[in-house]
Amino acid sequence: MVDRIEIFEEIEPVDDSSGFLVRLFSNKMARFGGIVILVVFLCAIFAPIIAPYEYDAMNLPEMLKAPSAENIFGTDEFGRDIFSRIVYGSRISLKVGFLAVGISMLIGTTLGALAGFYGGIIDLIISGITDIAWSFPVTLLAIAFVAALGPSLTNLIIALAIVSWSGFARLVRGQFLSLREKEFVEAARSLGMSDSRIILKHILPNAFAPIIVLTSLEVPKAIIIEASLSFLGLGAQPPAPSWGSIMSSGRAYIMEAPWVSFFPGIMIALIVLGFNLFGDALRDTLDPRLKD
Amino acid sequence: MKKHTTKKWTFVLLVLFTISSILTGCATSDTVDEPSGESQTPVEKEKVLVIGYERDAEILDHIKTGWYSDALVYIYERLVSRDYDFNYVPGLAESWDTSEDGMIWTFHLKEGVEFHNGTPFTADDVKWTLDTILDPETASPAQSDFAAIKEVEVVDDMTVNIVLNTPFPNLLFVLSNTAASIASEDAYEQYGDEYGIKYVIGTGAYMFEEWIQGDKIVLVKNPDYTWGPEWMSNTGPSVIDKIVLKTIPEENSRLMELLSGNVHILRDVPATFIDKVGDNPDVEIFRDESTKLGYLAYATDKEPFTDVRVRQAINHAINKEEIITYVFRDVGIVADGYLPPALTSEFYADSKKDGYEYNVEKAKELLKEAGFEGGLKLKLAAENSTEYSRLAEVLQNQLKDVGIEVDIQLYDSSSYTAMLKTGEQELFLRLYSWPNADILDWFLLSSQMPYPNHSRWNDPTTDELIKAAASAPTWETRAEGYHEVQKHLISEAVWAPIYVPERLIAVRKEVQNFKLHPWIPFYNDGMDLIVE
Amino acid sequence: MLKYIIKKIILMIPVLIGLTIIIFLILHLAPGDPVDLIVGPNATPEVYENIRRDLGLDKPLLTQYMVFVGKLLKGDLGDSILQRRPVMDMIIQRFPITLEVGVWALILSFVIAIPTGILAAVNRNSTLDYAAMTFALVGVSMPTFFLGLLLLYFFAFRLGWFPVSGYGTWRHLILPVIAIGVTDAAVTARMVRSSMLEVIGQDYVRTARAKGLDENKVINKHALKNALIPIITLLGMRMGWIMGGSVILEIVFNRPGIGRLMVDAIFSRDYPVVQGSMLLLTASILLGNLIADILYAVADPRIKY
Repeated sequence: MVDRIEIFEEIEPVDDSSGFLVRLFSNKMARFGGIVILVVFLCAIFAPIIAPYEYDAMNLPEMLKAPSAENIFGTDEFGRDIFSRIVYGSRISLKVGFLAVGISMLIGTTLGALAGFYGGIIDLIISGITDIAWSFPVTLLAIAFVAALGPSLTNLIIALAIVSWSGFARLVRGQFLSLREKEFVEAARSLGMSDSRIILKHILPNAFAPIIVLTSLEVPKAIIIEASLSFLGLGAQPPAPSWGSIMSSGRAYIMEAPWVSFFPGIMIALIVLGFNLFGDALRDTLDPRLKD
Repeated sequence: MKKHTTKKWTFVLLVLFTISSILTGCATSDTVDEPSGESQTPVEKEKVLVIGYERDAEILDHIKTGWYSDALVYIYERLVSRDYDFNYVPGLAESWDTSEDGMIWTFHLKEGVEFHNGTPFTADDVKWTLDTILDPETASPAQSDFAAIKEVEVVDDMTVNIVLNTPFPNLLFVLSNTAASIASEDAYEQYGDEYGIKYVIGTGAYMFEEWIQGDKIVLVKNPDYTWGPEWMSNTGPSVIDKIVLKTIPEENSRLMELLSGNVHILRDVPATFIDKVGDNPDVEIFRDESTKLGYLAYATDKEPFTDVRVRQAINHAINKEEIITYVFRDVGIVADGYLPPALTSEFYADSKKDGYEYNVEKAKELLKEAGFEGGLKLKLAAENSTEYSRLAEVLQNQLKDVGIEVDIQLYDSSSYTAMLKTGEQELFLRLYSWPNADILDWFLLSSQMPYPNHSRWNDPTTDELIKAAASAPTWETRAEGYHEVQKHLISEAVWAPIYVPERLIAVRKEVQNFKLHPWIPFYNDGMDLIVE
Repeated sequence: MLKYIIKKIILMIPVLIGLTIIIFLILHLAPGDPVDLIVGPNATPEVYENIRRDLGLDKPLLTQYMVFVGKLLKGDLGDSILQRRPVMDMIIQRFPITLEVGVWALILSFVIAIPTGILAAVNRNSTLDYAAMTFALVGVSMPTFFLGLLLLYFFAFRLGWFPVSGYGTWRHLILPVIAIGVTDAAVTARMVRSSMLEVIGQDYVRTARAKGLDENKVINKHALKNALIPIITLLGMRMGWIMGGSVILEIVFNRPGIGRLMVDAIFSRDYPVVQGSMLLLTASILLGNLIADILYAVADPRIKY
C-alpha cells in the first residue's frame, strides 16, 4: 500500500531558515494541511474535553443508531458514541504514525550516516542490507511481522519501524556521501575532531531538511498501514478506538449501519490528506528546482 | 537518432502489450463461470443447489483433517445414521447387535453398495477405515474419538465385529459422526497424495467432481445410488443434479448472494441479519436449537480463581439476558448448566435453580468476603472473531460494574489454543459445539490437563462422577450420571456458562422439502431436497 | 544487453534470500502451533508428536530452513500443513485471480495518469492543473480498502450492479480494479506531472521553443519522450504497491486470490503457505522492477549496457 519513490536525490540543504516558514505557509495547500494536522493534534490532546462520551461507554439499547443530535456520528454495535471514539482514536493514529516513523528514522539515519561517512566495506554491507530491505513490499511484511509477534499496538509500531527504515537509510547515506567531501568536513577533520563529533555536529545538521521532509511524507503512510492492519484485526485491541478497527467492526453491520465504517474511513483519508499536503509543500519549499 | 528512438519506443510498447495480454489472458482462461444457472442456459436445465459457507474445506479426507466440510457428509456414508427424531438408525450397516457384556458389537452390512469407483463395499473397508484412523502413524485428529475401540474383526464379507476396551454406550454416536465415514482402501492407495484434493471416493449419493480451492466444491449426483437410509423420503438417486459448496468469507456478501439468488441455502446466518432476511419473501428462516455452549472460563488453579467465592462472583456479575438481547438479538438462549438443553436426556433440568442469577450486589459481597474489596485486574482472552470479540467487550463492561477490571486480548485460533496450553490464561471465552455429554470428559477430567482441560480443573470428585457416568451400562443411567456431574460443577462454579446459540438457517423458496435435522442440519439435503 | 539483464537478475538473489530468512524466522519464532489446528482439542500426545514429526517441526530451526531452501531451488515450496497439498499448486491456482486485478489496475492507472499528468504539467497553474492535482491528492490520501468498501457498499450492496464476491467475469473485476487503479493513478499522475515539468524546464526544450517551434511539437517531440522514460521505472515500482493493496482488497471483495490465501494462512500459521505466497508476491514485484529496468535501458539511449 505504500509507494516509495525517490524524491530527494537532488535536494540541497537550505540555510535561509528565516524566510522558510513564511514561504511554506504562503502556500494555501500547506495552510490547509497544517490546519488539519493541528486539529487532529488538538483532538488527541484534549480528547476528554472534546468527546461528549467516554470512548468505551456502552449503552446497548442505543446500539447502531444513525447520526443524530446526541450522537453526531451515530453509535456502534455497543451503543458507543462514534464521534467520541474517533476523537480518542486520533491518539492512536498519531502515536503509531510518529513513533513508528520516529524509530525507523533513528534506525535509518544511523545506518545511512555510518554507510555514507565511512564508505568502503561498512558502506557495502549496510547498503546491501538496505537495498534488500528496500525491495520488500512494506504492507505485506508488516502483516507478517504483526501476525508473528501477536496483534497489539506496540507490536504494530515495532513492525512498522522494522519494515520502513530503509528509505531513511538511503536518503541519509546519499546526503553524507556528498557532504563528507565538502570543505567544512575537511576543515573539521584537520582540526582533529572525532568522527562522531563530525557526524553529529557538522554533517547531520546539513541533512536535516530532507530528513524532515521524508518524515512528513512517511507519517501518513504509517497511518494508512496502521489502519489497514487494524482493519485486518492485526492492530489495536478492543476497546481501543483505532480508526481502522472501528471500520473493521463496522463492516459486519455495513448494511444496517454504514456510518460505523464510513466516518472513521473519512477521518483516515482526511488526516492523510493533511499530512500529504503539508509534506508536499514542505518539499516544494525546500526544493529549489520546483520553485517558481 | 530520431528513428532509432522511435523504434525503441515501439518495442517498449509492444513488450508491455504482450506482457499484459499474456498475464490477463492466463488469468481469464483459468477462471470459472458463475455458480448459479443464471448466466448459463444449457439445453436441459441442470438442477443445482448452491450452499454458502464461510470457510472452505482444508482437505476432503476425514481421516486427515479435523475440519469436516459438509461435502464429506454427501460423498461418504457411515455405518450408523441418525434420523430426524434423534434415533440411531441403519446406514451402511443394516443392523447391529451387542454382546452381553457390551464389549463386542457386531455390524451386519448392507448388500449391493458400491463405491464411486465401482468397487463393492465390504467388511474390509470398515476394518481398513477404522484401523487407519486408530493407527498412531496416521496421526488422525479423530483418533482419540475412537480410543474405546480395541480392534476390528472381519467375520465375513458382510459382517464386522468391533471389540471394545471398555463398555462404551456412546459407540453409535461416534460411528455416526462424519469422522467415521467409510473410505475405500483401493482408492486411497491408487490416488496417493492427490486423494482428498483431486479425487475423493465414497459410497454416498453424491460424487466428487471438482474443488476450486478458496472458491467452491462441486458434487454431482451418483446415478447408481439405491441404498439410501430408510428415514429419507428418497432412497434412490437424488433429484438434484449438482451441489455446489461455495465459500464466501464475508458475512454481508454471503447474505447478498442469498438474497440475489446465487446461493440457495446459508447455514449459520448471523443474528444481526434476522430482520433483513426475515422480511424477504423469497427466503425462509429456520431456527435450530444448537448443541453449542458458550461460556466464560478461568484458570481454576490460579489466584484468585482458586477461591470458589470469586468464581461465584464472576457468575453473578454476568448479565446474560442483556447479552442475549443485544449481542445475539434474541437468537439463542441463556445457559445456566454445562450442557445445551438440546441434549434432552443428559441436560440437567435444575441448572437454572441451582445456578447463579445476575446480581451485582451479591457479586460485590462475595468478592469482599474473598478479600478483593479493592477490585481485581484480570486478563480476558478470546478468539479473534466478530462474535467473540463483541461478547468479550460486553463482558468487560459488565465486570467493570462489580469492580473487576478486564484487559481483553484477542488471539487467532491457532495461537489461542497454544496460549491455553501454556496455562497463561486468566479469564477466557470458549464455545464448544458437540452433540454429546462426553464433552465434559474432554474439558474437565484432571487427566486432560493442561489441554483440553484449559480451565485446569483438578478435582477428584468431578473425576469420580464423570467416570461413573461415562462407563454407565445404559443410556438412562449414563444420563443420570451426567446430571450429578453438572450439579457438582454448578456448585463449584467451574465455568460461567453464558449462552446456547441458536442456529439460523436461511433457505430460498426454490428449495423445497427442507426439513431441519437435529444433529447435522444438511444430513438430508442429499436426498430429500428439491430445487426448482 | 544480455549482460545487463543477467546482472539485474543476479542482484535479485540476495534480496530473495533475505526475504526467505525473514519470512522463515518470524513465523517460526511466533507463539502458535500449527499442529494444534490439525489435531484439534481431543488428540493424544502420541498423535500430536506424530504429526509434528511428519511435518518436520521437531528438527532444529536451521535444518528446517535448509530443507526449505533446498526444496525451493527444486521448485518445491513444500506442502500446506492444513490442506496437505503442494503449496505450488495452491499458488498457481490462486495467483491469476490476483494478477488479473493487478494488471488491469495498472493499465487503468496509466491510462488515467499519463494524460492527466501531462496536461497538468503543460498547463501548469491552470484550473485544469489544480483540478487534476486536487483529484490526485485526494486519491493519494484515500486508503485503498476504504475506497473499495465504499464502492462495494454503493455499487454492489445497494445498487446491485456488481457481484459481491467471487471472480471470473468482467463484472467481478470492475470494482476492485477501480479501487486500486484510481488511487494508484493519483500517485502516478503526480509523478508524471513533476517528471514532465522537469523536462519542460530543461535546456533543449527551451532551445526548441526559442527556435520558434510549435508548442505542440515541442511537447510531443521533445518533452514527452524524455518525460516518459522515468515513468517506465514507475511502472515496475507500482507493481509492489498494487500487489500490497490487492491483499486487503481481496478480503473486502471476497476474491479467493493469493492475498486471501496468505492472510488465511497467517491466521492459521500454515508456514509453508505463508512462505510461498510471500515469496511469490515479492518475486512478482521484483520481476516487475526487473522488466521496468530492462525497458528503461531499451528506451533510454543514454544508458549503456
